[in-house]
Amino acid sequence: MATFELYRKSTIGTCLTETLDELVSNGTLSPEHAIQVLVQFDKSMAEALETQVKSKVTIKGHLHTYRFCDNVWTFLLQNATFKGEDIQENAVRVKIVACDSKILTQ
Amino acid sequence: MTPSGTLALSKGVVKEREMAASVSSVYVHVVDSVIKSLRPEFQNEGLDDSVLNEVQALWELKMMQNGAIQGPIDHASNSALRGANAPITPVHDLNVPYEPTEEYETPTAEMLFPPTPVQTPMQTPLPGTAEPVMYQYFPPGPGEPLATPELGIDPEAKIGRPAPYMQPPANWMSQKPLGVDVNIAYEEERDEMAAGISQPPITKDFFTLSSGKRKREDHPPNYLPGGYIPQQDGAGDFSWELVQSKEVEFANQRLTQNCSMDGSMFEKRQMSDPLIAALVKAKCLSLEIPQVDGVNDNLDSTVADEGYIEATDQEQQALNDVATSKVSEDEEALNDNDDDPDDLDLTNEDPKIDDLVLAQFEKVSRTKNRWKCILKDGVMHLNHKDILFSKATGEFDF
Repeated sequence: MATFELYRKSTIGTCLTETLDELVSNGTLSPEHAIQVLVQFDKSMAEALETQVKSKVTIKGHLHTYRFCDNVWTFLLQNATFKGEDIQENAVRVKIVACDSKILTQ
Repeated sequence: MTPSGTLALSKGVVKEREMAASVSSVYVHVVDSVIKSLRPEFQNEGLDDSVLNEVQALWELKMMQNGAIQGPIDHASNSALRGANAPITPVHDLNVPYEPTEEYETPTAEMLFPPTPVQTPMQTPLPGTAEPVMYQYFPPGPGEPLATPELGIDPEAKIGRPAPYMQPPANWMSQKPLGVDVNIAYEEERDEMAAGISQPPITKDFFTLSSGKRKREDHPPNYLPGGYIPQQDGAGDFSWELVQSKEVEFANQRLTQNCSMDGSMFEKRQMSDPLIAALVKAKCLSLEIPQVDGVNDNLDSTVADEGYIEATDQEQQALNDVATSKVSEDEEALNDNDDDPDDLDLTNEDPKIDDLVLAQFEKVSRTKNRWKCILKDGVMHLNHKDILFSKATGEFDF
């Protein structure tokens, strides 16, 4: 099954990478096993987002930069607002990185 | 204890908390799922179960430090037994000498110097603030059902879930960062006490650092010109003038000692003394580590002496040449003035943009300067908060 490494940059993902870094550098874990954990994280994260999350969000803002490279869209937004059922957030600058959802279903 | 505090909160805050709770529960679900899926694989490969426990414990700890997981919500909420007396549990469990305790112990060093200082206040339960109320009160919520399947697993899996027991202590420990100095001392003490137990690199670093300092302070006055790097950052500082005079003295001494048997040699040496002194001085001034044992090797005669000095001059000039040529190149080529500051802000993305959305796109379209996109399964990090969405529509003007 194909997975994205995309979510490794999220908070939960960076926490995991830091953890694995520590455990590998103190010899508790081999690098191979660390990678195994990361790959499993990719799968579990994608699965959890698909099954556990239901909320919808609308994003508005000024598009400063857009980029489409290697099937990944990157948007840099200025003065963006994020609205959902329970949320309303503003961000002066925000980066959106999005992989092609079709790749996973293939 | 909490209801009054909760009532005082505005609706929006409550909503936000519910949302944070659901984010936490998803994260906990991911952790559980990763650990659960890997356990059989790792067991097949003959890897000890405790390794995965360690991964889980550290991972959860880091997320709590980050504020990504909120308080004792996750596994602790699994058992109704513990729900009521959550604050008491940590005290008991701290003394239980099972392995994962060490994992919780050591990362306290990081709590002292949290990676994201901005978020630290959120974790420090101060009475009267809104946050701590949340920690204690946080309802079992949606995290509960997600994790329950785990209960059916063999007893080892239960041992492998130290998190519920140890999470409250983590909170409790995170109160410490206030008095930094005290805590450093405390850490060191702990190191010594826990000698023999494997420590993660951070604690080790502390240890070597402090012992290094002590060493230097132990014998400050016995400077041997060849073998130390002078300290210039604290009470043990000493001035360069001291070094210089000591250098010269030392060079003279050695020359006299070594050459006294041969009179002519000695005269020669005496002549070269000022040169040597000048050389040593120059070396000191250029902030190099003085190398005195080279005197005998290199400076047998004044000719060699001069040659040596000349060489350094040449080197200096060569260095200067390189530097000037670099500057002129720079002036001709692109430089900082060519950057559009507005562009720079956004294209040097990483340091400046904290807010990040990671998602999958279903459709991206554009008509004139209006962009529309449909995203799904996203993780957003906005204003130090994590928000998840299953679907997002974006409308941007370029």
